[in-house]
Amino acid sequence: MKAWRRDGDGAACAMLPEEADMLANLGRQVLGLHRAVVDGRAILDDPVMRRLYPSAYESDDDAAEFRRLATSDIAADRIRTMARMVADLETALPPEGDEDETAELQLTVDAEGADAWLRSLGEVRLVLHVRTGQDRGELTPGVTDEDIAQLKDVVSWLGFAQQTLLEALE
Amino acid sequence: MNATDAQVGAEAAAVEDAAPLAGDEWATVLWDDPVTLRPYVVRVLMRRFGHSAARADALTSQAELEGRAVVAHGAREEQEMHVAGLHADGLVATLERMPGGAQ
Repeated sequence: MKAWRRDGDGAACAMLPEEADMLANLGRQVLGLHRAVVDGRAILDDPVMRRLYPSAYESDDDAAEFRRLATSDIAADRIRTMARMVADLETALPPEGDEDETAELQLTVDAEGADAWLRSLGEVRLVLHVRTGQDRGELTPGVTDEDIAQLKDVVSWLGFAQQTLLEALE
Repeated sequence: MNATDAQVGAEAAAVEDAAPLAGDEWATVLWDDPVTLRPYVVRVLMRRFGHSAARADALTSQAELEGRAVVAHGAREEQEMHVAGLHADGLVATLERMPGGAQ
């Protein structure tokens, strides 16, 4: 992808269809995590979930009460912003079977969209960062060193995307 | 810290031990996060708390260097909203009672 640049109140960038497709996929996976929280079926005792939904209090009782009252709203807020990024990507992607893999997609976001993207890019990056940093024993069986190396490249790509969006909005 | 401060501190600690107290002061504490990009943290602090760029930058540095920084304080309910907002933004934040805040 190319660095984001300022566009009115928002920003614009260009990325390859395969990049947009990858990011949309990752975004949908993270949406699944948040939806599980809203539905009360999330496994919160997991390194990724512990990082995405940290304790708000040192005391276990206070932390549990905060979770009971606030976690669903936090998840809903994240679903709103992540769904925005995923929808922007899906809109920009050509229809199935109509792909020209070399043609860059143009993405333009307004100020509100840029905020949603900033948060979402950071969130996907955080999830992958925690996953790739985990002990091998905690990862899904069959995950190879090559898979991990690829995920780390994606973490760098996400860092570039978020960093240049921050710079474009400054 | 001089002798008077130490005395006041000791008194505050004693008062705190005698909770519950009226006029609770709670702090929103931001924790260092080695993963999240620094300019993102600064931007969140500016937008969420209305801090100036310099203030947000200083608080982010404090969290980096000391592991944590108090980014806001006040009534408990308000601070809980702040912590929830920071969590939604992907940052690690907690609530705690301010030392001596009950006076």
